[in-house]
Amino acid sequence: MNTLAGLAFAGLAIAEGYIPLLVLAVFTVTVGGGALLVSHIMGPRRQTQVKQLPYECGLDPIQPTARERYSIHFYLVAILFILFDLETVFLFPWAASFRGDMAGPVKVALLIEVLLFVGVLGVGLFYVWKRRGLEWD
Amino acid sequence: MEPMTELPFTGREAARAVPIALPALFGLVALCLDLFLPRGRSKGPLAITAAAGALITALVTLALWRGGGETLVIAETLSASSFAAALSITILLAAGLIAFAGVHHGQDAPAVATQAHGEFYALLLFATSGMLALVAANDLVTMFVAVETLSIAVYAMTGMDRRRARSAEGAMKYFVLGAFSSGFLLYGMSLLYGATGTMDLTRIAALPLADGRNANLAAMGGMLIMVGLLFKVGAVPYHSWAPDAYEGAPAAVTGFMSVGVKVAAFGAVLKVVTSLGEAKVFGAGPAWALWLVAALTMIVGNAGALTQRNPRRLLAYSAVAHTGYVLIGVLAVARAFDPNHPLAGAGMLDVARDATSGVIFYLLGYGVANLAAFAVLCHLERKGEDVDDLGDLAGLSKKQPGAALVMTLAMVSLAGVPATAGFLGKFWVFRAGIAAGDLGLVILALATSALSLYYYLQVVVAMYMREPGEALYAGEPAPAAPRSLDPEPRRWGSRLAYVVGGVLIVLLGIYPGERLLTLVVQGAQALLS
Repeated sequence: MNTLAGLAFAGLAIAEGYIPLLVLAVFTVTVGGGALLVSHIMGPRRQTQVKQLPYECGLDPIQPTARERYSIHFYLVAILFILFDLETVFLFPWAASFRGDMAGPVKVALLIEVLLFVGVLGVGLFYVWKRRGLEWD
Repeated sequence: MEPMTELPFTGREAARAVPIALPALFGLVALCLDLFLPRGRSKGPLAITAAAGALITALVTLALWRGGGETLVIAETLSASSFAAALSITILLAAGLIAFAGVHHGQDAPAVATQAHGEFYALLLFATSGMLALVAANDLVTMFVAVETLSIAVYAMTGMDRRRARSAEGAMKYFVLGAFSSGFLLYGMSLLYGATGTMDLTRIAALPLADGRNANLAAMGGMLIMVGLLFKVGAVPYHSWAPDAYEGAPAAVTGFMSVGVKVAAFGAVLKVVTSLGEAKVFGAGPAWALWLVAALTMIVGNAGALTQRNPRRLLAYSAVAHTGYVLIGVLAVARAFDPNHPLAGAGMLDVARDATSGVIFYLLGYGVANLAAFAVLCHLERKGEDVDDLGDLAGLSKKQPGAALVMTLAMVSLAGVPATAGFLGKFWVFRAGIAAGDLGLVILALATSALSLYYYLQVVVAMYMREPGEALYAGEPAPAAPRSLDPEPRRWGSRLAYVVGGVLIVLLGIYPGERLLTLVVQGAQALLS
């Protein structure tokens, strides 16, 4: 069998199912781009000092350049935050389903599973703590 | 929603997954234990913890995974079979020996460049856990998670000497290219899932996919998965990370990844090849690609090793070359499922089984020899610096005859000289290759093996035929400040590791033992039942 032709055929056959997706993409680009274009053409432009700032929320950008050396601690703290933040993200759906109606042994097994999960991360927290990863200096 | 009345798996099934959890548990113990050891002191207790973990896991694995019965457990995500057990032995041997071999790393280092990190043992055991999961994986998601578990731990271990530029460079290259290959793996898995509607490899194997568009899609997915896995085993053209990562990492880490990662990834390769072969997805085309990869791997690996002066770089290219030899066995397995193969028939299944047994034994023999060689290199580390030049080994036989003998055994075993583990493995795999009709490839393998003798014996020449402090080649100036090769009586860990490695090389080559061979053959039968 001609593999190349077969692949092309397979590709076309798959593409058929994706036509609605293509329509959606075209629609999205038209509406989104159109809105931007119209406001760009018709919108008033009164530029002030404040409006020209990168962050309109009022936070001053780092001057004169952002290419400075930052403390590695920021990185460490960010990674640790993500780690334990994700832990809670996993705990929410678990808690929601744990409240549901289920047989006793299943409930016990689910509890054991989540305790294992939290336990492993707990050991990690203990390690970080003892290694003084949570201290700034 | 219906109330959940029972779990998707029983407690008995969960118990069979214990061998995967055990190393991780010991890893956590090692991690916590390290917090209470004084900094900068010997990591002996950690090494003993890690080795004990590996030993206990090996015993539990043999008890739980060997033998017949239902092997698919936990919603068919794991295949706790003899196949996984047979490969696990090599992986756990690597973890145990490397725990001892690496215990003196950075012990007498003057600067902070090479510190002994207690985290090494935790990462070693976490990686081991991932490797055991990979050889037992029966499900694409499990396979991917296992690959990442072992990879991330190994990336971190590669960069362990983080203040040393080479180590950081090796880790960075390995990580970036490894992440890229994970992309291939994941894309292949998604295509395969799209074509088959299941993540379960045994279900994929049972699907009738002989023709039609789904078969093509599945073939493409399978090929991309193979790319991802061939990267991990270091097959050409996916080998470019290997020399730099092997050179940059401390010798103990290199020893571990050259054995553990390779064995685990080959387990997954065999699993994918048999599943897609049984589903009639892998026919002549992928087999042809595999043939090409095997041939290129043997040529590039052996040719690349010829000019290397750094022992770790030399062993990196040697590891690439051995990947090529193992791929002959993998190809023989793939051929068994090709309906258009001239030898197609019932006999081919026996050939495939024989090839799988050969691959399992080959990986054990290769692993033992590599571990012994790296244990000697660990033993010769001085002031945190590994041996970076073959010339530094000059006259080792005079200073430390035991270490030189084990290194020699490792080199001749890797070259495939009879009466060593390497010979038996090569014989087994090559015989299966000939039976599968790949005579040309086997001749190439024999020719490149003969070529490999040159660089393996170069190490022996340096150790036995040069005086300490002498130049390796005639006409080369003698080193101004030769490395000290004097025996270090306090290096008990690396000595233990290389002695065990040397004994195993000879033992596996002369008398592997009935029980081991039974396990290897059972492993192949479990894969191809």
